[in-house]
Amino acid sequence: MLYFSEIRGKKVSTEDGIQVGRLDDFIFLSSDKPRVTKLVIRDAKNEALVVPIDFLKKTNGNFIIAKNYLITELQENELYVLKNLLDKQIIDIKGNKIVRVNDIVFQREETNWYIVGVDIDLLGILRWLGLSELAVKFLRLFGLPGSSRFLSWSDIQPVELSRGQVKLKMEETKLERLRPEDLADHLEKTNMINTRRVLRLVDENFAAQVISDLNINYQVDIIRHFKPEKSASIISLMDPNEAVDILLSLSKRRWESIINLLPEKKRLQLLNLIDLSKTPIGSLMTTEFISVPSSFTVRETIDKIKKETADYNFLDYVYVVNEKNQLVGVSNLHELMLQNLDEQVYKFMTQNVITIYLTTPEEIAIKKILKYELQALPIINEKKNILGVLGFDVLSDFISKKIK
Amino acid sequence: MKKFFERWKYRILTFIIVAGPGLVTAFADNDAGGVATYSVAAAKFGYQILITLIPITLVLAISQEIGARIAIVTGKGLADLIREFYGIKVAIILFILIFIVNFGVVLQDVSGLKGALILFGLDYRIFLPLTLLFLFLFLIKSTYSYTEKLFFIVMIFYLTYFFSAILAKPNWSMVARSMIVPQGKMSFDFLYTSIAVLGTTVTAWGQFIIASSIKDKKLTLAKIKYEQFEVYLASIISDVFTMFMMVAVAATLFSKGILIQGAAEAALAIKPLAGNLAGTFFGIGLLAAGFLGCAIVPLSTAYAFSELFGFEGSLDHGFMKSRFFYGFFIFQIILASIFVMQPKFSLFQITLYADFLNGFVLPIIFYYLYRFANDEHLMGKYKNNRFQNFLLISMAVIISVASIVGLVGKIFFK
Repeated sequence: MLYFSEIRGKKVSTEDGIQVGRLDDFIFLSSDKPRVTKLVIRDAKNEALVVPIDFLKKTNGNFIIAKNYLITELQENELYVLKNLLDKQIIDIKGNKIVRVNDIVFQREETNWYIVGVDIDLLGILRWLGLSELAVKFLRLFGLPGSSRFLSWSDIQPVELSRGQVKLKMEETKLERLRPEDLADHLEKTNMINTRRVLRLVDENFAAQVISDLNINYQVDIIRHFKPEKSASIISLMDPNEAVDILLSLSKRRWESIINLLPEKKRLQLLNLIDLSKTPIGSLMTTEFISVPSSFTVRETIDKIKKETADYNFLDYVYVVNEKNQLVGVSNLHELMLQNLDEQVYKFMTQNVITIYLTTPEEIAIKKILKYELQALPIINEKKNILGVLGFDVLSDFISKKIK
Repeated sequence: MKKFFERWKYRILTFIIVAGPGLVTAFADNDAGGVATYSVAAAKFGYQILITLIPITLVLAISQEIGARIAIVTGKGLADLIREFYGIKVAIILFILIFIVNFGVVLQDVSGLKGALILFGLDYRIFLPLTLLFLFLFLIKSTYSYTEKLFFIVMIFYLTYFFSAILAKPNWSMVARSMIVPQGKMSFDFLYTSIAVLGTTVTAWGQFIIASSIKDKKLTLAKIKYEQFEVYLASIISDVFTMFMMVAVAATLFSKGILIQGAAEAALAIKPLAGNLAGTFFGIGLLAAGFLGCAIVPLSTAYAFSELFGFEGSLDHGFMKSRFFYGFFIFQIILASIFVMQPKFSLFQITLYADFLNGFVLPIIFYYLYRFANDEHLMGKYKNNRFQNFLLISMAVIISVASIVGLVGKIFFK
């Protein structure tokens, strides 16, 4: 998660160390999931260079772009962050003024940058004035979380932006002011609600693909909302491992009714997978894991690790939970070590956490560990609370059993 | 002939509907703080100070017209535009500056109101809070249009200054001459006082309130000619009243060499010289000026506050919907009252200082007016012409130089 206020004005240079200028603005494609497409760099002569984001190589501290970078122009449907979004008035669907856009939140997914929300908190203003760290420390002195409130991008009408206003999809009273750690999840949730609406119309092949991209919570939620016939046809198109994971988190009656509607061959394959593993995950998992609130600083996190994990056999990840104690992020210890001691964990945690349920078969859990190259896999309940983790030792036990 | 009459009837009616923001702003420029400054200046320099009037009227008319035009064309307040075009840093710094300057004026107005109440033998410890409470409740309960009507009624009481001036029996030919031909010696003190007189008439808050009230009144581009006319007319009328105030004091106190520290004191001092009636008229005028100022000046800061942060802020709304707007209004009133309610609170130091600060901030506000009024994208065919730009820039330069010279002179060559 990155704030526009923290990025703007950063030095931009090429890979071989030649100064280009300072980062002035971003250009993004106005849509439901707005991707940043171009950087606007102001050179020493105060002229604006528009460079496609594909040339961006590194962003540690300063911005480093490829030395053979090209200059381009604004295209249709593209908007400026500075001119079209920042400081603009936010109005609800009835035209009531709510607040202005105080800051903008970006999320990086591999090489892509997306706008995920807008900061509507006073902290967003203080960040521009360089006073936010002071304010956060002060707030935390009184036991307050010290993080901003946001509006998720999914609550904004992208079409209205080009008309010069930030208009919401709902009334002010229905507005959810989110904590930063819940932003990505909120986007996924609304995405899921939209998906559910769309899925009734589009072909099942596409639906299966969309569903398999979602977090398991939402996969289960969607399958639960469809009629068994529709669920069955989508399940039959999904990866068998994922399908079994989803099915087993439903009630036995429900999954049996779905599985009976599948074609013969598919049904046998899935039943086989279900039968294969009778070992309950609960007996394999360990409660040797650590979780911290998202507003914790690196310093506090390290203190907690020192205090609470002295007798653990291993520790590779720090899990991050929100106010409702739901799992919202994860950071490995290496990432943690690289951060500034006063940085709050929500800023650098990975928001898309790979998880399993207690009902997940052992094989599938192990396949997930291997597929995502994880050291540990958290097990959650349907409220998204962490119950425990599967450690890497489960994998080695499993392999040694097979070899024997 | 009949057609000609019909057309004018239509025009006059439209003007009556449109009129409001310009007149209210211009009359509020003669708020209790204004009356105090004019009285102090006139008691000190007599008719000599009248030379400032015509240039000040010109500055007022030109700058308010530009502000009004920007507001009608963009449909936005000045603080809206500053935040959107210059970002949060500039907006916050300017807002703090405006808040400080305006708060000085709020202090003047609340204390002017207190002075006027004492003048009429009313206990300010009871009547000052009551008056302010009435004002606050009225603003919350009424719409923009009713509030404007209340202001119009208050403005009628400004006529008392006219009678006050007549009763003071001034030398009218001397008055007329002093307005055109400079009289007396130039001094740093005179320059400093002139800037203060300018600063109390042409105000930073005037630019914010005219834009915000045009927005709140929802005046559209179709009415721009009428609004421009109103602003010019209002500048002239309000400065005619300024002249009456100055004349009433100059003809009495200056000629007897009586120096005063405030407007209420002026009203008292006039009585033995021009009769009780003249003093009473002056006092009624002060009461009206204090009331108008206590409403308009904190409102301008409250408009700027809600525009800056993007909260709802309209006189048409109830308290809950525009709670930050009304909240910021009452915050200023209460804060000022805490100071003013102290029995020994003296305003003399603040009066000239606050007006001088206002004069000092003006060139900064003019800079932003200049930028917005010349923005092709924003203003289209309504952008400033060369003559308006020339006037605006030269006004800003003259005021800046005069401010600095006045201040330096005041400090070092007292």
